[in-house]
Amino acid sequence: MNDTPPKSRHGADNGASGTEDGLEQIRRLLLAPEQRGIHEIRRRLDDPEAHAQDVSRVLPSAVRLASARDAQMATAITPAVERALSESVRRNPRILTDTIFPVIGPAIRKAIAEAFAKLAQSLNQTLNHSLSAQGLKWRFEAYRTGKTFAEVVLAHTLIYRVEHVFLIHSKNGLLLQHVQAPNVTNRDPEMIAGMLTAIQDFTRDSFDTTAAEKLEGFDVGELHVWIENGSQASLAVVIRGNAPLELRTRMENVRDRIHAEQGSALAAFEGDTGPFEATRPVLEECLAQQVADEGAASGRPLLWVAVILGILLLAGIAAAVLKANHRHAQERDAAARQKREQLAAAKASALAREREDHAEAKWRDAVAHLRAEPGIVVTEAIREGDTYRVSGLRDPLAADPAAILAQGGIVQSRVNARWEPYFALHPALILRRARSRLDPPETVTLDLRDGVLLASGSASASWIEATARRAESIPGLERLDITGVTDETEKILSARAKAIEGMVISFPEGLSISPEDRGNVARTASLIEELRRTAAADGWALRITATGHTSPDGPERLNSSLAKSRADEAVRLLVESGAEPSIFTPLGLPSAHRGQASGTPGAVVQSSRNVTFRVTLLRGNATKNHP
Amino acid sequence: MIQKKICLIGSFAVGKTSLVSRYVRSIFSEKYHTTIGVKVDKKELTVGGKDLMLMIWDLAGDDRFGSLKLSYLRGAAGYLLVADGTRRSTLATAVALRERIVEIVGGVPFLLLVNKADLQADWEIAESDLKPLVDTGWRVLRTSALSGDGVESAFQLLSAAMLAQQ
Repeated sequence: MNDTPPKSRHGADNGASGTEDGLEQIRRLLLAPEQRGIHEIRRRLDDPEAHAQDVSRVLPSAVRLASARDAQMATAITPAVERALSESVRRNPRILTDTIFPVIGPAIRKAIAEAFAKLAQSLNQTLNHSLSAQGLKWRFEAYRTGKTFAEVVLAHTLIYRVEHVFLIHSKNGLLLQHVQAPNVTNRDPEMIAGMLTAIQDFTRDSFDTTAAEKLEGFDVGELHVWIENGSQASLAVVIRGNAPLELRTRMENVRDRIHAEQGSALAAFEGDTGPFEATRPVLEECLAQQVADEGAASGRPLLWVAVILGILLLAGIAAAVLKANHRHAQERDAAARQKREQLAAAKASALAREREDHAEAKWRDAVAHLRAEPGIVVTEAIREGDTYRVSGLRDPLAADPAAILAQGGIVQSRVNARWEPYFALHPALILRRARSRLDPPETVTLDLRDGVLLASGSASASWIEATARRAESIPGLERLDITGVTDETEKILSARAKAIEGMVISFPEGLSISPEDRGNVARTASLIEELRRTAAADGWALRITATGHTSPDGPERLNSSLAKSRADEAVRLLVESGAEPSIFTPLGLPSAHRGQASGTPGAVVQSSRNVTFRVTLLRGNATKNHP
Repeated sequence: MIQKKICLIGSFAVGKTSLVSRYVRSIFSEKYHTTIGVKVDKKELTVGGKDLMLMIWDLAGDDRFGSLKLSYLRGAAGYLLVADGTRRSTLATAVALRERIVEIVGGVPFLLLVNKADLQADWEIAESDLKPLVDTGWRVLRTSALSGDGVESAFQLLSAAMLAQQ
């Protein structure tokens, strides 16, 4: 403020000038603040930096207000946003990709899943009908109309009707609008919408899904509820039958249209459903239905089904009959087999029993024979299956128990026998023991009567003497009566000497005896030795002259030598066979002189090439030629 | 017609369902309480000359045991908190529930219904218990599921409050 006093009027100019200055001063005084303000505003308008700062303060609010008022702001900024997005993608696509991926990713997944579902449904339907008569008809239709076979199948088979369409507010579950097909029962759609929302919430809470993942439908018998969830409103349809998945696409479109057309009303919804009356025509687009072709739906398929069922029924009956027959045959075979097995078992059992009885009887018989045998006392006889155990007492002169058992059919190798020796007092055993001990000659007969051994017949004196002595020590024998035996020693010896002189040893050629005469030599030696011992026992001495012979052919001198050699050879062979050598006297006698040496008819033999014997018995000093 | 979603909530066995069963239209079984934890009923009434349709979400369970699904509260325009006058603990539960509900739906209108008014002699909840709540702005009604006293008023009052806030 300028406090300078006004100048005095020096003149008109001066006065006018002074007035202007004054006015200027007043103007300055009055307008200076505004001028400074205007100057400041101009400065800020002219300074881009300052201006930008000012605009940045009000821009967000201005955009918000403009957007709320009308769509001009959106229209205005759209080109800039589009260019900005384009520039961003051009510079670095990744930024925008990362930004929108959370939104676009689930959408892509959903689209792919639906595409696959449609494909699967198409394939299923196609396969189901491709081999039927109806399928062939539809193939012809596809050929005739130029459509794909799948399209024709779907067109004929999908029979469905959308009965209800609900438009539900996503936030509070209130029913915004509801349309329904004609002649469909209406059951309080507001409450149904509420419970549908509750079920959505329930599934989301129960299975921990994200806000974007919501229940998309459920099936109840032939009813299917499909839900298309939107950010502000959900569309739910109730379908009776088998709807094509295209209906989903239609639902999505309806949902999106309603969001586009009613976005503001949805956002501002406070319970007044009036504005959503306008959505009814849109919702009714979802009230689709598909009626199947009568012929396809009811006629031939049923016939084919009936035919197939009939075939299956017949096949089933045939299978059942075959199975029953097979089972019956199996049961019959099993019964027959069981019967055979039972018979075989019974037969085997009977056979076993029979064998057992037979074995037992055989064993008992054998043991009975054993018990009946003199000199055998059975104390134990046990059969254990096919093995046997027997024990007892046995007189050494008794019959062999094993032989008795064997005669009864008992195999010896299966018998374990243990016999203790004893002297049996059975008369037969006493007699047998007497014969064994006394060794009577054939001319003596032994008999036992009341414990007395009766000997009768003839025997040598030495035997008679020895028997009287031996009989005393025979167990079971009370006494020996030998009075019936006469002493005929000489007679006995003569008979034996005669037997020896009857023996001839042949030499068919030279000094070799015939093979058959080897036994003859042994027998002759045995007779000679027996006679020698017997005679010696009775006090007789024995001399034997062995005379060799030849054929009449040949010179006499040679024959004499050969005859002597043959006698020597015969003696040698006899001695070799056990005869006492000292009793022999070899002698050669050629044929020309046959008979001269012996002077007896016994010396004559059929063949002259042999050796004959002559026995001489000497008692004490006396000499007895035999006979 | 204006629709409003309201919730009925309170401790176990305070009589929520009995309280409204005579006054609402229901097509759903009580089994829904034990299965998905909520049953949606409907009540139509006229408030201040306006026809109103209340979609009543009757929530089962008690928050103490985790059986209460608070997500069902989403989008509610109002709610009825129910306590049992004969059990003091149910009042405390109602107070606690109120805090949880506010977190989800904000400050929408609500009423506290102290039920079982017909058993007044057995009440554990005294006037002094309710006064501090009334002082903080709570609206409290005594109701009886047996006699029906206070029930219709409760719906009327809550509806009026919701319309007033709209």
